[in-house]
Amino acid sequence: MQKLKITHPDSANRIEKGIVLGWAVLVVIVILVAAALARFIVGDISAQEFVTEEFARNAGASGVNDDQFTFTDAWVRATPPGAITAAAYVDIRNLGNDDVLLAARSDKARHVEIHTTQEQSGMMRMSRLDTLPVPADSVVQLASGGHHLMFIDIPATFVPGESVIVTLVFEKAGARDVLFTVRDAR
Amino acid sequence: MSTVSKLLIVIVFLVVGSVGAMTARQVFVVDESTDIPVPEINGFVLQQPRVLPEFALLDGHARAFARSDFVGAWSLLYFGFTYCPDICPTAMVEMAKLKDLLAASRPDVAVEYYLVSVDPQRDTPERIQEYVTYFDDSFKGLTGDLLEIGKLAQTASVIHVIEPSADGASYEVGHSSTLTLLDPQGNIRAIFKEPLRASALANDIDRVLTYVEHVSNEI
Ligand SMILES: [Cu+2]
Repeated sequence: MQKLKITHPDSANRIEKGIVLGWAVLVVIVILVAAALARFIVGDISAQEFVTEEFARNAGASGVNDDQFTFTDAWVRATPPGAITAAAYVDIRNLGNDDVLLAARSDKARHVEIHTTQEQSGMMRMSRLDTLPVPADSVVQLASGGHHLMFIDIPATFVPGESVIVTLVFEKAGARDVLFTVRDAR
Repeated sequence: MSTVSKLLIVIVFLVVGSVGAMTARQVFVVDESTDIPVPEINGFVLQQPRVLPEFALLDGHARAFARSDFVGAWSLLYFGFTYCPDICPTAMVEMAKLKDLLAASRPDVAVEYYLVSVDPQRDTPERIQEYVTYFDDSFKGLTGDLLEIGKLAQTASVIHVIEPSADGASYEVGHSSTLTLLDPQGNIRAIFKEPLRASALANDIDRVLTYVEHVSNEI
């Protein structure tokens, strides 16, 4: 009797443990499957969102994209009062053949030059580039501290939020109008 | 000579030698417990504070500004020019962020922030005042005679050159892009190099301040 009394709740306990373990395994499997599925689905969605977002940004804020060029992050540094020059930056992705950026122009500056900043003999020096190669299947970044488009002789300061159209002239592909947004980098 | 006396001589030598070495250490070497190494920063810490020469400049209100005006607070100096389109505004933005970071991490330390013009021909006091306050209300601008600016720049190891331009009307100024740290006596303690990034600068400056505090406590 005594033995039964002891073994009975024990075996019940074992069965309970077995059930709990079974459920736990099932739950883990479900979670794993769900996670894998979620990863698959969400990964897909986020990739889609990224593409759409990039597309929207390009179409909306950075101007025309085509089979050859994608222009992203096109912005002009908002100018402090009294400025006579401004710097503009953009990432140019070339999906086509090798090309060369020959010139840039905008009606918001007397002229626009292609510039590069380099550390030279202990100084940061800016110099004009005659051309900027944009090789096939590459992204050429115009970014602060490196290459930039330089607006020279600006009639008015660039106010954050404002849009500026810059025409980029490529040797082979011809001209592209790119929409730049003025950004306050402070 | 017996083995015992030989041993005694060796012991005497050892004792005299170690006592001598310990005395020499105390005389010539700073006690290790208070000795902190010169911090490694993105730039240079000057072990001998560099004294500025006398100079006569103008601040953003066209008031005379001399060496003695650096006394009383730590100072950070950036040498640049207001018509600089890329490097200088980036440095000014970082300096504004740095000001906030240091105000939070070192609220007890007073720091003044300056832009020293290397293009005084175009950077009038009004112009530089308008420019620096665009980035932060408290920033100060210094300009004046190019020769006077040169005295300050040279001592801060800053070089600058007016780049010839095609049309002559607009020109660029090449210049070292560094941040110079002056102590409250107006002496150069450290020079920070590119890339000038606020968070790294705040870190480096904090370590230089700690180092300078230790060094001056020992004197
Ligand atoms: Cu430029």
